[in-house]
Amino acid sequence: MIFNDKASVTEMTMMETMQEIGTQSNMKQVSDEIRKLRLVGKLEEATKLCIKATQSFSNEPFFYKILADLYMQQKNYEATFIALGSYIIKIPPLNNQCIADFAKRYYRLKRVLSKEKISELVGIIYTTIEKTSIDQTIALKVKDIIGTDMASIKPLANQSEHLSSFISLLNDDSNFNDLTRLEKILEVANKFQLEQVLDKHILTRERSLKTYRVDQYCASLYEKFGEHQKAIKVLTELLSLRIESVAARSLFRICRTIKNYDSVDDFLGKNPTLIKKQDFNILYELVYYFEIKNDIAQLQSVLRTIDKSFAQNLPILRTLRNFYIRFGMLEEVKRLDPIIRSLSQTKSKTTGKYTDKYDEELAESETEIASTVLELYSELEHQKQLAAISDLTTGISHELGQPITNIRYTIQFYKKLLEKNLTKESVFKIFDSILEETDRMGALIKRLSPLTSSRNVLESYDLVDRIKKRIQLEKPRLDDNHIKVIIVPKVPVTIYGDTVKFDQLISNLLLNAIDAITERKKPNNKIDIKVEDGAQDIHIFFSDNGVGIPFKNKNKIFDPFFSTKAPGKGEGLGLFIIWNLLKSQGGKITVDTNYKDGARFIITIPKKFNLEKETKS
Amino acid sequence: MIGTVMLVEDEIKTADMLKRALETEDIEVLWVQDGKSALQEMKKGRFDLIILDLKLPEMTGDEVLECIRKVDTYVSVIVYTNYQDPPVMKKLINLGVEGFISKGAEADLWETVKKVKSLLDPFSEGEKNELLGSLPHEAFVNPHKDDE
Repeated sequence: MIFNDKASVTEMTMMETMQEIGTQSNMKQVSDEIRKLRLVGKLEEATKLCIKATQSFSNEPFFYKILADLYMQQKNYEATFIALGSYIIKIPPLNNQCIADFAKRYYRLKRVLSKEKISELVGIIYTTIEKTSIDQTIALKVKDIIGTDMASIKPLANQSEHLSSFISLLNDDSNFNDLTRLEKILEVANKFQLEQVLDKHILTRERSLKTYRVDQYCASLYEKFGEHQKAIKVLTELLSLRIESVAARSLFRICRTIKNYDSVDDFLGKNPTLIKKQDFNILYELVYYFEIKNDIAQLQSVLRTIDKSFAQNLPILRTLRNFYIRFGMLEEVKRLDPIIRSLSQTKSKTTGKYTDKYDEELAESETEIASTVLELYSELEHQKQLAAISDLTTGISHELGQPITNIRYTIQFYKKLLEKNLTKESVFKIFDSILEETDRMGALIKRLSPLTSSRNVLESYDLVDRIKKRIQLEKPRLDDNHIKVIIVPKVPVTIYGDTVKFDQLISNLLLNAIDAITERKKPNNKIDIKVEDGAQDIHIFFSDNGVGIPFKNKNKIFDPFFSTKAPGKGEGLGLFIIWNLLKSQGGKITVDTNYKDGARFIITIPKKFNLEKETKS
Repeated sequence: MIGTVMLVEDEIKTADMLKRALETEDIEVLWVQDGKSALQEMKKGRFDLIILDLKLPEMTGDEVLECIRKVDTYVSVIVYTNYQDPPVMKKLINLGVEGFISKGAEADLWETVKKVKSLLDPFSEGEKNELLGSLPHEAFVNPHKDDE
């Protein structure tokens, strides 16, 4: 007896049990058999067996999928589509892997067949979905996969009826609710046909106040279908007729999605007062807009307006708090926290729940800050100890991992290749390649040496003179890129400290500036260095007119291995090394966020570095 | 040709070796060096599989995957596992990743090729496992035991 569980045996007759076991182990045998036939090219036999298998295991989608593959291999595309149609019917609900398998096959067919052929055959799948009682979630996913190909399918009878009443409702705003109800039905049935209707009746028609609401709704449909340009067209036309904040907001949101604010720029150019409007719909989008434009002053002004105008609205305040976190404005977060807490307490007492309005904005801003909070947290840690060892080791293991991967891949590739065919030239090529990779590893170690060198010889020196000498050393690269360097004052500024570290500091700053300038590719390149002799400290204002630092990166640029450049063009260590060099001399470096034309670093170095005091603290 | 693969890799040598190794197996490879070009090439249903490096210039791998998923929900994606923080890994898994490969000391070119092939072929290991997984456990009891 094979079953320990007696109950299961008594529920089935012995015969059934036997058959069940028989068929299931058969299933593996059959699929192995089909596989073998397919591998040796006996496609017809494999197909015959596979058809039989679909009959014997009638609830199993697997064999339909394989059948489709076999038909496709034999270029019998109609049969392929029929097999895929049967496959979809058998997919159990919520089985995403099966849907993905369908998608892969469908996309493969699309790559080999002409557009006409696909439009001809896709009806097989569409009719299968519409005419059988297939799981609705699966039907929707399949429709999404066959996508625009559905546009050419002839509508079923009841669908054409809906379509014609929908078209007549587009003519004015008065039956808006009926319109949206019908729209939902049509969208589920075949959204691509719906889109064709919109293209024909909405996209090019003249805007009028009589159909403002309908058109705005259709723009939102275009947005939903991913037809952003069409949505933008309808919205800009509507907005030139009358400015509704919901329409304006949609325009902003779409531009944000496609990362192209041209139409918003245009719109704001014509309506500059919009920025002053105290409408949260628009203010919310303006935050993102000014962030992309890297316009910090405007961004802060928008945040202030939100802060002042909606002091009693809980979801808005929470959204605002999330923005403050996102931009690293921790003081503001701290100020808002108690207000939010007391507000949410009174709200929950009186109504049990705060208003649902603006919940969406809240959710969006919340997901966006999740990672920012982590970054900020690590930034706070950095203030205490920037040389975060974990970051550094992660970076180093990645930097070393790359050449190791290259060496391993190169050897593995040629090892297999050379088993047959070994030439002296190819072996030399491999040797060179590997040596190059070891050079790269060595260079990394050398680059990190300023961090580990313990030499600390202190002496008095003229800081202006040392900077000039560094500039002289970089002259070839400065001249190559036509960069003018201006340094003030001309008189000596004396300081007591470590000259070697100071030289490394200035060299790294210069290289960083040259990189930023060459990346920008504009005329009138210059680096401005201003030294200010204070009572306790020396301040160096080091500016370049290069690409500048995007606001969102200002907290990260001193992290080890933070780089936005292509590999080989900079490993992201320069500013990290600078930070550490300064730290070991009791100094610091910050970014001037108000500086617009490029980047400005403010470096502070104590005039007389007291090593003892520093090591004690 | 058994499939079309997009390789998103900024390391020239790594990409070159992997591309050539895949091509020896008749796999068509389109190689791009950064996320932006990957998204330009990305079209629904164009690729069977995407191999995605996570450390890329400008856009990071997880950002790229997020955008890829907006275009194609179903395309198979393989990423490199090394040096990733748990939150990033979690995000990747939520976005849908079918496989992982190693870089550094564990990098194995032909293992990677094998993995890619198994994801491309319909009778692959993966699908065989799926088939086996769909069977109830009892199905593999030796039928001869019945004689006892």
